Parts: sequence; structure tokens; C-alpha cells
Amino acid sequence: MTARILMVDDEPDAQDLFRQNFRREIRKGVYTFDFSMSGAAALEVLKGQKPPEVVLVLSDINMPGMSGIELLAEIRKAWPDVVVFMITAYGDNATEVKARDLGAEQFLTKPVDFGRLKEDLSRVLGDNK
Amino acid sequence: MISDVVLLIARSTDIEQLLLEAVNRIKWAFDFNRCTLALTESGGETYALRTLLETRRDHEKVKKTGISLDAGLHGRVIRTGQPCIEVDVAATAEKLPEPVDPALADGSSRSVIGLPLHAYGRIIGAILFSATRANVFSDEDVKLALQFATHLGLAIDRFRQVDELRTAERKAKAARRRLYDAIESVSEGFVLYDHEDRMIVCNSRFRELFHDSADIVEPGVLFEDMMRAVASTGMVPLGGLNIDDWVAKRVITHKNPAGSHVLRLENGTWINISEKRIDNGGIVGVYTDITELKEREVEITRAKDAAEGALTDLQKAQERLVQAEKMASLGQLTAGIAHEIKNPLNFVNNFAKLSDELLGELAEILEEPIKALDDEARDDAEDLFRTIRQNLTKINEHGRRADSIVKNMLLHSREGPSERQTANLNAIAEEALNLAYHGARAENPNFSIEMVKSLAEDVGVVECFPQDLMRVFLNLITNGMYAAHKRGVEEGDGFAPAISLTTRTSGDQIEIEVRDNGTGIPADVREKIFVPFFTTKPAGEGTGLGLSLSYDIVVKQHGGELTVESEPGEFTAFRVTIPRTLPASGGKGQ
Repeated sequence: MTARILMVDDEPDAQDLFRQNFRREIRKGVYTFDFSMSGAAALEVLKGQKPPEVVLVLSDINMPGMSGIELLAEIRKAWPDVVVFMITAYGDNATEVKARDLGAEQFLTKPVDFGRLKEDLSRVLGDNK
Repeated sequence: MISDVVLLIARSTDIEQLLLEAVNRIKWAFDFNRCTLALTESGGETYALRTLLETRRDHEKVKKTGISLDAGLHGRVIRTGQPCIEVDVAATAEKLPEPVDPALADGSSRSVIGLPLHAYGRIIGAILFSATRANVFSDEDVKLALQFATHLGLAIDRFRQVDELRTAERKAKAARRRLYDAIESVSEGFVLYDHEDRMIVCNSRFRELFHDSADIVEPGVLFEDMMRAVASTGMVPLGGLNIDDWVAKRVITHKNPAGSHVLRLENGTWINISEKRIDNGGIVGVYTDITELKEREVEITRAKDAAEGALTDLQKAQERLVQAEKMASLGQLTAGIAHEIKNPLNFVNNFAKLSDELLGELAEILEEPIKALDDEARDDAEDLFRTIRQNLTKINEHGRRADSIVKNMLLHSREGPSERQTANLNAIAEEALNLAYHGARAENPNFSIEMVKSLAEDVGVVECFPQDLMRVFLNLITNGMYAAHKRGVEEGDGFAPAISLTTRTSGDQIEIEVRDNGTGIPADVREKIFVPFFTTKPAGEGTGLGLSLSYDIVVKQHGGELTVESEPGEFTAFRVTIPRTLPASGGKGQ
């Protein structure tokens, strides 16, 4: 069953990076990826899906407009079943604690260790749906 | 008869009484009606005239002063010193000067004996006997009168002198009294010495200054003896001199007074002594108690020192604040830059890695078709693949280098102001050592170094900015490891890179030494190492910011010292010295 993952990052190249790193999984149909360039856009995508098809959100924290933390709070409020991973360049403790308190399942720092990410994803989503 | 008069004169204590009694007595010897006495007045230009005896009730007694010597019979007698004996004045009136005494002028006096009064070569007056009838006086009478006048002259002179003496004495006494009162009323200690250095007079204020030695302060006492008494009682600090030397020194100052000097008594009183030579060879001294003044002076000096100290403290605190600000902004700047660069760098690295992987997959897929190509084309294809993969590796490599530079810069910066705390210094140093080691190993897995720690237990807690000190230690240790490693690379297996970290206390200072057995620093480079952006590392390996920042942290932020000692090819040792507590600054108050 293909898990639908929503990636939120204001850097357009992040899409390519993820697509290339997950090329095998995508080809095999393990995951499909949607991309939003901002927190607001991400919320629109989620709202547009009734019921939500996205099972996991991978979000950057530092974005113009709505920050990843704010997005996290919104998602956890509206769609508590959707898992959220935070990815960020700023790996400080305070932010991690805050994100986890708000309900982030995982907290990763850039540059992303894709091997580890894939492990985490399969652990969290593997047996779902 | 004359001997009676002489006896009278000898026994008299009062001149008035004498004159009266003498004249009355001599009347027994020869008969006259009137006797007048003229005495010169001080100044010698005038005389006073008065009647000593007058038998006729209707004739007035005369009493006059300030009569010019040119006037009257008496005047002539005094001036000329010649007796004026007239048998009958009426007959010789024109030859005689106009009498001043009216009784002589009215013609009632006919016989006249006028005699000068001599005393020790001077003429002090004249005495005149007159009778109403002519030819009354015989030669005997004149002789008697002469003897009388002689004795009287001497007697009067003597009495006058005694009187003058007594008056002078009285005046002198009064003058002295006034002087003493004046001296006594002076609020300072006052003393006067004569030309032989004996005390003439002093006031009680002066005597009081001598306290227990006060009884030596009597007129006539020698200055030197007074000083000896004072020195013997221990009233004055002798400044290491023995009593004799001190007294001698004091006497010299006293005899050559040059303005004033200040003396501090053992009981804490300060005296200002002002001595001056006066014209007659004596010395006048004024002693003023300036204890209060001195105390105020001390207070003012203390306040001034405190103010200056406070000013210096403030200035240092200001410097530290400015430095901290600089550090903060520099830190924020580099942190900002570093973070900005991190993102694009990540992409560079990631895409390079990805591309390499994808190329690998492509190579696999095309393995067979490539084999099927002709030799030249196959070589080209394989060559291209290889080259592209190498390029990608290079991109990756340089990307990682850039990444490590960024990490390095982030180590040298942080966000937010660093906090001043008390911290365990040894703990900070140890952590820096560990971080440096792991950092070096992360960069080069083959990195190994012998690490020696000597952390003195009494170093304990130190008031400092722990994050910044950490940065300094990290910087110094990293540099040391780098140098030792470099020497290891140059010299090969025979050399064992080593680094030692030592902490110790030295009074209220803490010393931290980082010593490596690396390549060392030549003297000309040693001068520049603390200059910002100066680095001896190859391009891309260091920012050249570390040591200059470390220097600023140690010196400006902590008020300490950072020194380096080195022998090229042998060792380098950096020594950080910081005070255990930071100097007080604004927030702490005095």
C-alpha cells in the first residue's frame, strides 16, 4: 500500500533531492511524494483531501511566513492521525524539545541522513494501512 | 643749719614734702618773704614755676608751666647759670628781665637772691628768695642760700630720676602686661627666643603642646633642652634616630628657619611649626594644631584614590562590555553567515553524492552496450564515466571541506550573549580537550595523539564566561593537536605527537597551559599570531580568527593574560592566566 508523504520546504531543490534519494521506493510504489513550498500551501493540500490521504508530513522549520513549528501545531490540532517529522538545519536542543512537545514524531537535522530517515519511515508507516 | 637740711634731704621719701620742709627750715636761717622754684621741663626749652613759700597773705602763690627760658628772672638764671642777686630790684629794674612772677613785678619784692640749681653738670632749675625791703640779705645769707641751692639741686635731680625710673618701670610693666595678654590671646602656640636661643616668653597654648614636659617650659630655658625633654618623653616620633641625633636635627631646622614644617606627635596630633628669625637675632615660633586639617586632607586623598580606583574599574568594565558586545555581534555575524551557507552547501554535497550514485546505476545499465562498442568509442565512454565520477567525488570532497570550515566558524560563534558565571575550570578544560580530540578524529580517522592532563585540584571554581573560555581552550588545544600532528606527518613513525593540558593556581590567579611537541612557532611569526585573520594554515583550513578571538576573550573579557613560548621544531606552549574573580563591574555595586 503506497504511503503518501507530504514534504514541506521553501527550497525548490529539496524536492529533487528527495525524489532522487527515494527514486527506488517511488518506482516500487512504497511511497508517493507531494510537495508544498510553504506551511500555508501544505495546509491547503491537507484541507483539500477529505479524508486526508497524506499519512506523513516532512517539514522544514525555517520557512518564510508560517514556520514549521506553527505548521506542526496546526496539523496536530486538525489531523491528529497524521505523523509529522521535522527536518531542520538548526539542530539546537530547545527547538527539538519544543517540536517534540508539540507532537513531532521525529526530529532530523540537515544534511539529512537518508538511510536513517528511511528506517524511521518504515518503522512508523511500515505496517500502516 | 645746712646739715639739718642735708639730713632732711636724706630722709625724705617725697619731694613735695622735702621742698616744703626744707624751705621752712631755711627760713629760720635767713629771713625772706617769698621763695619760688623753677624747674626745667622735659625738652629743655621751658620751665615750670611755683611758689614754695609766701609769707604775705595778700600775695598769691604762682603756679605756671611751659614758661620759655627766655622769660623771667628764673629763665635768665637757668639759661646763664649765673646767680641773680639784687639788693634793690626797684633800682635795677631796667637791667633785669621782665619777671614772670607777678609778685616780683609789682615792686613788692626789693631784695632778690636767685640761684641756679645744679645737678651733675646740668642746670635743672632755679630757686629765688625775695624780701619786701631792699638790702635785706647779707653776704652770709647769700652763702647760706648758695649751699641750700646746691643741696636742693642734687636732691631734686635725684628725686626726679627716681620718679622717672618709677614711671618708666610702671610703663614697662604695663607694656609687658599688654604684650603678654596679646600673646596669650593668640590662638596658636606662640614662643619667642632670644639670640642665644633661650625662651623669652610663650603663651599657654604653646606650653600645653608640651603636655607632660610642660614644666620645662619656663623663660630662660634653652631651646635644645626643651627639645631634649620632648624627645625623651616619647612625645614625638624619632623616625629611627636616637634622641641626640633627633634633637640636633631639630635644632638645625630651628636655627635656620625656612618657612614652616609639619610635625606629627605620637598621640596623632599634627603641628605646623613656623619659625622665623627676627632682627635682634632672636627667633619667633608659631605652632598651629592642624590635626583637623590633616585629617581632612587624608580623607580627601582617600576619597580621591577611591574615585580614581572607581574610575579605572568603570573604564575596565566599559571595555569589557564593549568587548562582549563585539563578540556578540561578531558571533551573530559569523553564525548568520555560517547558517546561510550551510543550506546551499548541503545541496552541493547531496546532489554530488546522488549524481555519483545515479552515474553508478547508469554505468551498470550500460555495461553491456558499452562492451559492444568499438575500442575507441568504448574507451571514450569508460573514460567519460570515470572522469565524471571523479569530478563528482571532487565536488563532494570540496563540499565537505567547505562544510568543515563552516562548522569551524560556528564553533567560533554563537547566538545570544554569553553568560558570566562561576564554573569549574578544570571541567571546562577537560571538555575542550575531549571535543578537540573527537573533532580531530572526525576529520581524520587516523588521527592519534598522546594526551597528558595535570589538572590541579585547588583550581576549583572560577568566575568567568564559561562558553568563551571553552572556545579559547578548544582553539588552543586544536592548534596544538594540529601542530603535533603535522610534525608527526613530517617526521614519520619515529615521532609521537603529544599534547599536555595543565591547570594550576598561583595566588588569586589561575594558569592554564597547553603544550604541544609540534612544529613550533618561529620568533617573527610569534609576533603576529594574535593578529586577526593571520594564519599559517594552508588555504581553507583555518580562518585565522581563533587566536585573535582567544586573545580578546582572555585579555579584554576576563582581564587576564595570554602568552606563548615556543622553540621551532620542538614545542609550543600557550599560557592563559586569569584572575579567580573578575573585577567588580557596574551591576555588582561597590
